[in-house]
Amino acid sequence: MMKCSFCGFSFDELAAQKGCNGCPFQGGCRKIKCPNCGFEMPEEAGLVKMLRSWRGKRNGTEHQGS
Amino acid sequence: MENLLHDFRYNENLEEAIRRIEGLLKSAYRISKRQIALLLLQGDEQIEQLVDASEPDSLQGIKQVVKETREKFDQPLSYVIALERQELASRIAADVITQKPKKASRVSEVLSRLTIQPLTGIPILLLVLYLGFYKFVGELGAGTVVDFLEGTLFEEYINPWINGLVEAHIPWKPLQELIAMEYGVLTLGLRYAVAIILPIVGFFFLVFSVIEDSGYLPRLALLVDRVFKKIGLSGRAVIPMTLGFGCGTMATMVSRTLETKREKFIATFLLALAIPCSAQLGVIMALLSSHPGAMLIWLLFMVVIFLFIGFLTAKVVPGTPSNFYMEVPPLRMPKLGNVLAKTFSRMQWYFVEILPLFLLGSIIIWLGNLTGVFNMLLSLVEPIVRLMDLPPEAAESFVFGFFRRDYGAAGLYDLSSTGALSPRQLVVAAASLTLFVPCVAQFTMMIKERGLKTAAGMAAIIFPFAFLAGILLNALLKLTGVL
Repeated sequence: MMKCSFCGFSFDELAAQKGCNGCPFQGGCRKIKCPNCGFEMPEEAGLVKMLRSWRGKRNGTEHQGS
Repeated sequence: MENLLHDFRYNENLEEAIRRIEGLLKSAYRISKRQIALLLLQGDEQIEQLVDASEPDSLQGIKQVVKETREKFDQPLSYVIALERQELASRIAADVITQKPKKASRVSEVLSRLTIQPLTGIPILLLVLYLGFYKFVGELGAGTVVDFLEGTLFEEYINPWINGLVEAHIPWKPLQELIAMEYGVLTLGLRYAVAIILPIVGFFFLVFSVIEDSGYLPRLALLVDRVFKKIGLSGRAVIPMTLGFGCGTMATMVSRTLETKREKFIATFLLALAIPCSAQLGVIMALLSSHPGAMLIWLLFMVVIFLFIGFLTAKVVPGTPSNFYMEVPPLRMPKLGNVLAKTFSRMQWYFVEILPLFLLGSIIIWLGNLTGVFNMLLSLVEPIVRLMDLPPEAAESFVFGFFRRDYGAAGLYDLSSTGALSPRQLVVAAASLTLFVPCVAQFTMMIKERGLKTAAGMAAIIFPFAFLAGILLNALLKLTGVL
């Protein structure tokens, strides 16, 4: 789950991608659009994901998203 | 609760309108006539089309009922309906939820209120802009860091080394110029991307992530809602407008989330005209940060243009004003980890996007040079640039700017670092470059979202307007002797 930085709405990253149908950048913009307000956030960089999962493993918890 | 929902009725005026519309609807629909009536009262275009398709004769009467009902309220009907629904939802929630009284931070509550009230919210906004963008992005990021990376590292070490290497090993001059020299892929494209734009957008994204993580953006939306209504928009337009300060192309696409066609049109036009993208904004901060007076004039000029053109467009484009309401999440202290992760992700996203385009830009300019097209374009823009009292070399920035806004801004930065521009010329160049036609990608998106005719019409207005505004600003500054 992720939280929109603008309206605070919590949503599933995969479900949000459904809203990208019909966009010319589909799949190419590497951004995630909040289904509630339309605010866009960049996809988390690979390095950040790696660091989070490494930290999660060290603390014995799985990464739950931002 | 069931009773509460079942017995729920809107206020008398709305109920009467619903009854009258229900009576006028003759066809059978998948949803109840009451729902159809409510959606028609809220101005739902799709439902209107549906009714028009199945019973065109009824539509005229229905429109009359909607019109008469609208006149009975000060607020738009969709807002009135939403308020009544919210009240019902709150009543239901109050019946079934028992909440432990939360110890909300008093400081956070007070601060939240202060950011929304115009009297305190505007000075807070100015403070955020001054500290975040002027001091941090402009002076530190674009001033100190870019000075070192571009002025010292590239100009003194990397570029001379590449030029020497190319001259020694590549005998064919056009190929030498493709890789190195004045417009080479490495000496110009890579330098612009790595040494000018990337550090500037990096600092910009860092400030933006702090603002975003603190929950300030929705408060900004509420703060500007009243002003935005005067220019045919609502607080909701803060989303595309804020994103426009990142990238105008993406922001133009996001304008589709606005409620009415009119709002979409106005937002697209203002994004193309008066909102600089992150790199452009950062470079402008860098150019003007050493002249606070020049910076203030640029800022005032852009705000006036934004509001004036927005106001005019709202007058010319027909349509009803839309309403805006949103739940405001709490203000919170930004988390360093989140801020850094977001900044890094944005920088990576941006760099992956711009590097190939900047390199391609160099190749196009090289080709343009080889074929003479680039010089032809320059000779077309040069006379206009002279009218603005700018040196002819500034024409390059405008030609670059159409390829990529940030590319043009980087060109202007390059020119000013040679000391070729006075403070007045800097303001004029920065203002007209900000207003200048959107880059190719944004223009393509405008066509996609608003259609070729509308996009071409907007570009046809923006192109002469940018230069005319530059000429007038220059004349005004000269006349008053301010700079």
